[in-house]
Amino acid sequence: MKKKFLRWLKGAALGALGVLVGLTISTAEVSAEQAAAEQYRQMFQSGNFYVECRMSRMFKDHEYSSGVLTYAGEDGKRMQRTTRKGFFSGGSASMFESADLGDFYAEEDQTPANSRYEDVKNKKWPDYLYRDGQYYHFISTIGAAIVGNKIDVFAKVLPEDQINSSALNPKEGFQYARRELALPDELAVFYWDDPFRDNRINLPAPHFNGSSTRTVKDKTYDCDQYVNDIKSIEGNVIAQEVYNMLYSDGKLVMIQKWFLRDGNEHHILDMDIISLTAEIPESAFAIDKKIKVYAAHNGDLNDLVGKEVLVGEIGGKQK
Amino acid sequence: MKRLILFLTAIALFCMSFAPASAADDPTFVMLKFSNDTRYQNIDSASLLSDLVIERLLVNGKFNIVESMPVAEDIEKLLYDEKAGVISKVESSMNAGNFNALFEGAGFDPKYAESVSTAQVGQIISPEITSAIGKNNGAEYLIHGTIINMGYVSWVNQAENDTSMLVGGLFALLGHATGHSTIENVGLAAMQKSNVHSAVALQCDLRVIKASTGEVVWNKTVTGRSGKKATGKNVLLADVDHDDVLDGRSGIV
Amino acid sequence: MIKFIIALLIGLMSFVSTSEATKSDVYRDAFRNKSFTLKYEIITPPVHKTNRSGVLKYGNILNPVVFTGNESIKYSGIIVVDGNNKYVETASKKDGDEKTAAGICKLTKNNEIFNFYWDIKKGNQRYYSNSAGLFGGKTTSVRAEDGSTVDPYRAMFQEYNYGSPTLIKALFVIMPADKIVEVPSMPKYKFFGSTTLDNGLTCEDYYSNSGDKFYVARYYFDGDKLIKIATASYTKRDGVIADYEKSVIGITEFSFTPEQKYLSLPEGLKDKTKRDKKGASK
Repeated sequence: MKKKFLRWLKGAALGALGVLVGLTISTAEVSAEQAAAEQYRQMFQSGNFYVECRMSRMFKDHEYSSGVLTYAGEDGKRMQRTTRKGFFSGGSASMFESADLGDFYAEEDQTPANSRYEDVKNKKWPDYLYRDGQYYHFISTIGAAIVGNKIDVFAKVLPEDQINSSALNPKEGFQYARRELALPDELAVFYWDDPFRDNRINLPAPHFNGSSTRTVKDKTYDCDQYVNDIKSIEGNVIAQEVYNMLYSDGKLVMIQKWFLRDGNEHHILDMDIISLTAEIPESAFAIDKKIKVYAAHNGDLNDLVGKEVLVGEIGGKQK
Repeated sequence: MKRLILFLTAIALFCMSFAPASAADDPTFVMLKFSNDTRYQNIDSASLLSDLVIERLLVNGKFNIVESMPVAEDIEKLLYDEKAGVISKVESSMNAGNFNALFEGAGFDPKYAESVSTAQVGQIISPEITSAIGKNNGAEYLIHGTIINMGYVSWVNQAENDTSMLVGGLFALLGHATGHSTIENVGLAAMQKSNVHSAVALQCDLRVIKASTGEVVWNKTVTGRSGKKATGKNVLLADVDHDDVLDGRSGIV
Repeated sequence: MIKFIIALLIGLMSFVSTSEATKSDVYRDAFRNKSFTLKYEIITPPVHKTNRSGVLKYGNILNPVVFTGNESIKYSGIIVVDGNNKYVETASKKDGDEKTAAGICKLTKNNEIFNFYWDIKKGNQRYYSNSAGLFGGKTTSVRAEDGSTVDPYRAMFQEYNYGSPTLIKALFVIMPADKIVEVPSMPKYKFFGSTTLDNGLTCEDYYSNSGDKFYVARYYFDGDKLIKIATASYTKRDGVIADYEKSVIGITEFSFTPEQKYLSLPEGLKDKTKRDKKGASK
């Protein structure tokens, strides 16, 4: 009991230390959020939003990899598109979700950690799309042999009531559909209850930790800080996630994420906001070419024999 | 579906070729409905296969099959439920002050099989369950199978080619499913078409259980594919999930 | 006044029950200090429920091990931990047939993670990786996982990941609960009691009860030596057991000294990791 108490005390002290010191954690000088924060909350909760951002994965303060992410929601629809190059970790949400909660985290991380694939630049179709009760996964093929060095794309479609089916062909990627369509953690600070988000881990929404100003690359911003405590089985804080939301002229322009553990600060990523608006551009859900859509394989005979069933086309002049 | 039935018939014939010869005193057998351990749950392959195997056994005449249809009892579920009951003893164990009744009982004795589909020769499946099924159907032995894998597969003759590949329809190369949505065709150039064979294949664990004691007296894993007869030299590369290989999940408990 | 306060404090302390010393404590300390070598075999694997992904043989990548959960296939492993460096190996073989043995290895060294394999060829253990990619086949060079130095989340989750889910669940009793990230349904074990069996072995029992999920574990000692761990867990829904698991793990060796030979790449495997200017593997 005494040992346990001393360990708890140490953990509490470390947690307090994390809050009090360090470049990343601010001592709150102003206690109110930026006015725009509540507007962003309402926008996401309405389900109608458009976000385009450039996410840079950082390592020791230099950019390790980057990509542009686009998310849009409109009248129940949701889409996601990414252009990534090199290694990219999807952030804490994907780490927690890939922790295979059924077996705690004995199973290995299933995020695309080792993706070496060069992405298709300027692609005008989503990666994942949800609409009319169906999930779509758009798959690009690049390279030789099958399509003769051309870049081609096709889509697979799955009714939403089958999204948790154990009969799904794991190679078709629908097990990632909801995770990919969910807003990333950095934006989910405003929308932790995103219906596409998997909150099995029970990590609570980051709490507001105060406002201050911050200088990044010689520019000074208003900063709202949000902090999430990651706790151990015994309830002590063993790590923290820190989100610094940087505003310029009252608008969110950048998010920086930090991870604190064992007295070390890790700069995880920078997210430059290219666009964050409730006005959905026409291009958001547009698909600029006709793409063949095939039914997802779900443990039936077609799945067994590898037969593809064409169900239609999407894109081109029709949305 | 017709193609599947023809294929399963071929597998049934193949399964039969491994079945044990009946003993001189003509013991009685009953077949249990096969179980399906694959994700192809929307094809009723287990029922189809067990129907076909029993049909072939009846025609064959080697075995004294006492029921012309597979028996409906789901032995897997019966065993699972029985074992769940053993586990629930933990609460009464706690009242006794220790967990002896649980951990030192039959539930943790390795001679008892964990499940029907993993039982090996010499292991015992619950005699209470097997003897009840045997008595109800007038049979001394129970035949059971588990489909453990099926898929559209490719393989190479091991002697000819040492490269592992995954082929199959146009979309069978949806590798490394990620949100990234691209396919890498590395390795296709190395494919030597003459070495590659593709077909629907099925792998099944068959076992014979002595009803009175629950002992597994015979067990065999059978692999077959449509078209060419399987030989020991061919290496099956069905539905290889390379993620499992790279991440160390393959075959590991 | 001071004497009164001291007496009061002493009195208060007596209400705080000191935890009983158990034989598991030294093993608990080994995990906390991150210094040990553990070799184990799985005597009773958990029930094989489904084989949903249809995983079959791997052709030439691994000496074929058919994943049926077949009880004639024996699983074992090695874990070596020395601070933040760690080696985790999980191996399998058909019972009685050494030729079918194969292993999957993960070495974490200086924050880089190397994956490689071994099998038996002509009686010799041979190491290789498939660093040439999904279709590249076996190679004798290995590369650290992309970005394995980069991600502190991964480091946090991987710190107490020892490969086999069965083993990890069994070790939960002695893993430092104040260092492991909590996820729902994790057990929070409490010591239940000790008992001595007729065969002279001592057992320590632990349990965890969180509403509908119940765990029990028994640690077997021969003298002070940990030799076996048995676990069982179940979930109840509407008063009925909806799901259960059990396992038995034999501890073949547990020493408090990390065996250093496992904490480097094996002979014959070359490190071909590319590293960027900041030292991150890519």
